[in-house]
Amino acid sequence: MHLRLLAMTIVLGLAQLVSMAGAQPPSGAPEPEKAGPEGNQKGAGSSVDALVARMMKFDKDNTGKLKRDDITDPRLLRLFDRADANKDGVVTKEELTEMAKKMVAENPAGRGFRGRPGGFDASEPGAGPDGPPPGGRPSGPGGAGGPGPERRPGPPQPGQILAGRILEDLDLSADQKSQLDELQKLVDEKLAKILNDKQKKKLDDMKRRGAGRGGPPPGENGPRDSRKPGPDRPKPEKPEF
Amino acid sequence: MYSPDIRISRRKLIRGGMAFGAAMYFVPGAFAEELSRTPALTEGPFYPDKLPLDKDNDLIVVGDSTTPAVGEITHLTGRVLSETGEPIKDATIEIWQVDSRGVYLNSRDSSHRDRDKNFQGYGTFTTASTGEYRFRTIKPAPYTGRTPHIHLRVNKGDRELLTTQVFVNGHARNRNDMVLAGIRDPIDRELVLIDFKPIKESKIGELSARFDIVIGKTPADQSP
Repeated sequence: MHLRLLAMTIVLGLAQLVSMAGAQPPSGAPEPEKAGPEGNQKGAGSSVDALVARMMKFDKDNTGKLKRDDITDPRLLRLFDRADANKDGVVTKEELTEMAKKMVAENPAGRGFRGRPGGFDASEPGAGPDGPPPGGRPSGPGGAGGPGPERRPGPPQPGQILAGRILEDLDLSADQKSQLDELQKLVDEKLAKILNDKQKKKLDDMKRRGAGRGGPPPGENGPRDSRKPGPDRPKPEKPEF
Repeated sequence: MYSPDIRISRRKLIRGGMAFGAAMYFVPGAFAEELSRTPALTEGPFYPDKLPLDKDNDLIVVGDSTTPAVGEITHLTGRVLSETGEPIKDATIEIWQVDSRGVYLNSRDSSHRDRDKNFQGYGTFTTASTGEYRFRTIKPAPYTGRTPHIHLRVNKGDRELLTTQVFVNGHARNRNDMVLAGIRDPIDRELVLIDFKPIKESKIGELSARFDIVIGKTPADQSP
C-alpha cells in the first residue's frame, strides 16, 4: 500500500512539475529555441508574408511573377511546383500567398510554438527512446513529453494509460484500441479501489488543474523517467556558429 | 553519370564519385541573391556516447562483416555550400540515426533495447573541393515520439559549422514532430525535408536522398 501511495505521489508530483514548467516564462527557459536561423517570432500572417517575400526575391526583373527558371535555389523548386496551382510554369504572388497560407494551416503545431518558451529544442520528446532531455532541465519534460502548445490531441490524465500524441503515434488497430479500452477500465476500477475518497478528490483536482495549466502528461514521462538513468546531456547546445 | 553502388565494395564507396548528377544543381557564384541557410536544429541527447571504430560513410556494413544492416538502403548525398553557392571543402559531416528498430548507437538508448549490430549508427565524410558528400545508410525508421530523421553535424577543423536534422518529406508523423513542427518558418521547414526516391536502376530497392547543406558563414580560412 505504501508503495502504491508513493508511486501515486511521484506521478502527481511530476504532473505539478510539468505544469510549472509549462507555465514558465520565456526568459526562464534554459535554452531558447533555435529552430531556424532567422529565429523569427512572428505570427501566422507574417509567416505567410515572409515566405512570399523570400520566394519573390527570385523575381529579378520585378514582373511580380516567378518562372521556374528564376528559382536558382533548387531546394525551393518543390515549393514552386506546389504553388503553381494551374501548372502553367508561372507562379504569381497570389498563388504563393495561397500556398503559404495552406502550409501555415497544415502545421498547427508550428504555429502554436510561436512565442513559446524554449524547451522544444529538447528535440527528442520524452515519449520516445530519445527520452526526456537528461539533466533535469525544467522545461524539458514539459515541452518534450507534453502534447504541444495547443494541447492537440489532448493530454493524458493521471491514471490514463495511453493518450495524446503517443496514442496517435502508435497507430493502434481497432482491435488494439478496444483492448486498450479494456485495460483502461481495469486500471480505473483498481485505482478506484486503491484510493480513498480524499485521494480520489485530490486526483480529480489534479486532473482539473493539469488540464487548465497546460496538460501535464505524467503517464508519459513517469515510467520512462524511472527506467532511464537520466545522465547529463552529452554536449550542451552550441551557438549556431 | 549514375554508377550503381549495388555491387560496389564498401572500400570504393568511401571515396566514390558522386552518383546523382550533382552538376545540374548549384553553380558557384551564379547567385544574385544568397541561398537560404540550412536551419540549425538541436543535436538531441543521442549523439554516440562512444564513437564506433568504424566511422566511415557506409553505415550499412560494420567493419569487415558480411551481414548488412536491416533497412531500406539509402544513398544520402549532397553538397556543403556557402550562401553564395561556393563549395566548402574539408568539411566533415557526421551523421547519426536510429537503426531499423529505432535504437541509437548510444548506451543510454541501447542499454535496454536490442540494437541492430550490423548498423553502424554513425558515420563521417570529409568533403573535397566540390563540397560533395555521400553516405550509404538506411532510410530512418520511426519510433515512438519522433518522426523519422537523420542527425547531421558539419565541422571544419575543430569548428562546428552547423548541427541539424533532416526529415522524410511527406511522412505522416512530420506534422506532430516537436522538432520539425517547431520550425516556424515554412521555408526553413522545407529546407530540411528531403525526398527519398527509388533508384530505378537498383534491383534491390535502394533509395536516393539529396540534402544540400548551406552554411551561413564561410569558414574563416576561406574568406578573402
